[in-house]
Amino acid sequence: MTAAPEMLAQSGRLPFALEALWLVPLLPLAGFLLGGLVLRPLKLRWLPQVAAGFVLASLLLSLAAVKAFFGLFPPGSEHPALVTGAIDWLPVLPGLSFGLGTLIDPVSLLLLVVVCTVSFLVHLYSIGYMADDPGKARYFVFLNLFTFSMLGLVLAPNLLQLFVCWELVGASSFLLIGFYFDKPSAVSASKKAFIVTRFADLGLLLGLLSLAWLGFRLLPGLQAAGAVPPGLEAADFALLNHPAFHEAVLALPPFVGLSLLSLPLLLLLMGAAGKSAMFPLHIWLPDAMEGPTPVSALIHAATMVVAGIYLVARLFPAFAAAVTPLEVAAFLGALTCLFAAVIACSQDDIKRVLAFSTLSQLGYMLLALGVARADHALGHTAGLFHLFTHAFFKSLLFLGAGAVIHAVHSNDIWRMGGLRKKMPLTHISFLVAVLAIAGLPPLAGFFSKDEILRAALEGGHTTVYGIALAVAALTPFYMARIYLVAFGGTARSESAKQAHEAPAIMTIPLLLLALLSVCAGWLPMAEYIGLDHGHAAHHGIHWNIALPATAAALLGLALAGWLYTGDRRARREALASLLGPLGGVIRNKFYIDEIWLFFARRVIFRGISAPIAWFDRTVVDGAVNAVGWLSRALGASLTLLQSGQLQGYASWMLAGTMALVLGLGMLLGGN
Amino acid sequence: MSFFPVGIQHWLLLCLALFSFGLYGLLTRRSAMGLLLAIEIMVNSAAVLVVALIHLLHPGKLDGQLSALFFIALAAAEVVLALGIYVPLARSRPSGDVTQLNDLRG
Repeated sequence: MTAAPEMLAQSGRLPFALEALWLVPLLPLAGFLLGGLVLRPLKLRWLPQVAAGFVLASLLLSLAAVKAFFGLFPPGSEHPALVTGAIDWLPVLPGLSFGLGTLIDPVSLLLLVVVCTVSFLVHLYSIGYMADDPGKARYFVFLNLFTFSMLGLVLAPNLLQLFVCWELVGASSFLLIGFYFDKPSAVSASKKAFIVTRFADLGLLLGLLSLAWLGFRLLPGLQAAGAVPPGLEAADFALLNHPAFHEAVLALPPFVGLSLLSLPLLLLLMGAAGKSAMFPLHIWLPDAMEGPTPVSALIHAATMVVAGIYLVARLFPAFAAAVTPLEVAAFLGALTCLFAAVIACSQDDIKRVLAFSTLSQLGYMLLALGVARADHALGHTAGLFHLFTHAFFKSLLFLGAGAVIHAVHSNDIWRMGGLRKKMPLTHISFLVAVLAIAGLPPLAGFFSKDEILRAALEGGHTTVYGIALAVAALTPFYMARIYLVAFGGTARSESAKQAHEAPAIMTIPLLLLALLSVCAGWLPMAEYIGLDHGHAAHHGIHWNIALPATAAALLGLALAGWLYTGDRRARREALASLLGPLGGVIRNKFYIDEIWLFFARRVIFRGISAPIAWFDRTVVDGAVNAVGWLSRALGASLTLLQSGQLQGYASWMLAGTMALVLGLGMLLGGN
Repeated sequence: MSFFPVGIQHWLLLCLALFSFGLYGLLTRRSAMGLLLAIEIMVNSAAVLVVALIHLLHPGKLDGQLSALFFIALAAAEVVLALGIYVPLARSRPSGDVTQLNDLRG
């Protein structure tokens, strides 16, 4: 491990863009407050443009920061982790406080660029997409809130800020999935997403608390020994990623067979798996497609769902020191990417196919991180590289699908068809994205997929490599399937016949993203993000990886062409009968939703919720009711004294006075 | 001066007797007017007591008698109030029986 993150205490000498990086998340926050509190109540029509403007400012500032950072520390050299704009936020105890700030290193800058770019393009696209929606002001306000939260998450210098923003992105995702709140399916989808991710966040919170506790207990010793730089706090990533911290934690006695480093990281991995929709917590993501399509592109494809990947990448040195969590991550990633790719081949809703494809690609990224090790960190670079390229082509796919849905008024690919001629710009950009995700050279997906496959093979994970190669064939198949069915052939419905191209405000972001989907792969990513320089450097194309990967992609494309160009119903039916009952199982997404539902109804409702409800209704409510009954009974008995009889009162008064006089007499006249 | 020497204890006894008669009347009479009279007797017993005690402490001074005049004025004011309540009451409840006036029963 050569690049242990270190803090440079050279504040004040850094370029302005790095010093003022805290503005990047705060600009969309200002947009959120201005839009939500001022512009929306005033019903101002240019609210969307203002919202997009704030994100554009963030984008420009973050690009300036990237330029300044790599100007100071040229690509290929050692990249330190800087913390700027730090403020003391939560002083809990002496020696235990949590700050806010912006962490600047290549990984956070990468995410910064991805989030700002995609968010800005989605804002632009939404101006056209949501033009006729009565709730568009609310939509843009939430979109700004999301952008703020995501940027805060990406720039978090410690686990606590990350957690706060993590929950904020969850909340804004909830708000945007349930944007069409008069649609019952959207409401239940938003609740499902919130509850499933909250359940996973339990693990994140527990992991955070254990890591912060370990940091708090070990920090004084480490500082006294001079092993860590001064000025660190308990939950700072700079501490949690420090080799001296790992050594100190690994020296502690293990708990239930796991080291004290693995255990919190496994809990964090649970949170990451929930947010990044890994099996078996993936069930919320396909349903989240109930939200507006640009939201799916931004939140549920390019940015929020990669937060889990980002968390693992951010704590990668700690994960690498613990190893076990990385093995779990590789397993989870491989399982999810295969499983989701298989389901994606069977779905007819264009957004659902894209959602399962997102799952599969997220699995790919997690797999890449999982096969990386401290001494062979290529997977770390590869996972983040794929995150980078995937953000562009997947948001492009979603935005293209949005344009198609806008034109055809249906999500069903079998009601589309023949859109190639009617929507030429959308068609071109969608085609580019399909080829990019398929991994054909020289498009973006080819390079990042190539890196992942190489990381898996060179790391000695042959099973994982095999799965990844299989998925590299499945991905082009299902993507080509929806492309051929939706854009090829002839129109299959009346609305598809009358479809026409989207307005320029929607096609311009599509074309920009198409450009990025072509070029994003040409970056020598290992020069920018690499934990072991030199070893992982990008030495051109590796033929032993590129050839099988490209062959797999071509195989998938050819199979899709064989099944879906022209009228090939007979071939498809033959294939379906070949699969037999397995086809139904795949079509029903392996019944995972039903298993969860059974678990929720039978185990959680009956075993946990029902006893708690009984306790609440009988014991807690009983105690409250008993107090009420007692006061009423006491009051009822005391009303008997109030007889309304004057002379009765007079008698009481006499008795009271006499008692008072006698008492006073005894008290005063005693001696 | 007189054939029967009157001391402070006689005045005290008189006051006690008057006060007790008043109290007895207050607790036993049923007519509202009777209650008013009983209260007047009790107020007057207190006035006599004040006169007697001040005369005992400061013989030859008129302070006691003056306070008694205040007492009478006070009692008169009180009667005005009481009658102010009593007259409308007597209109609606001609019997004037206080045991029937239990509208404020809890």
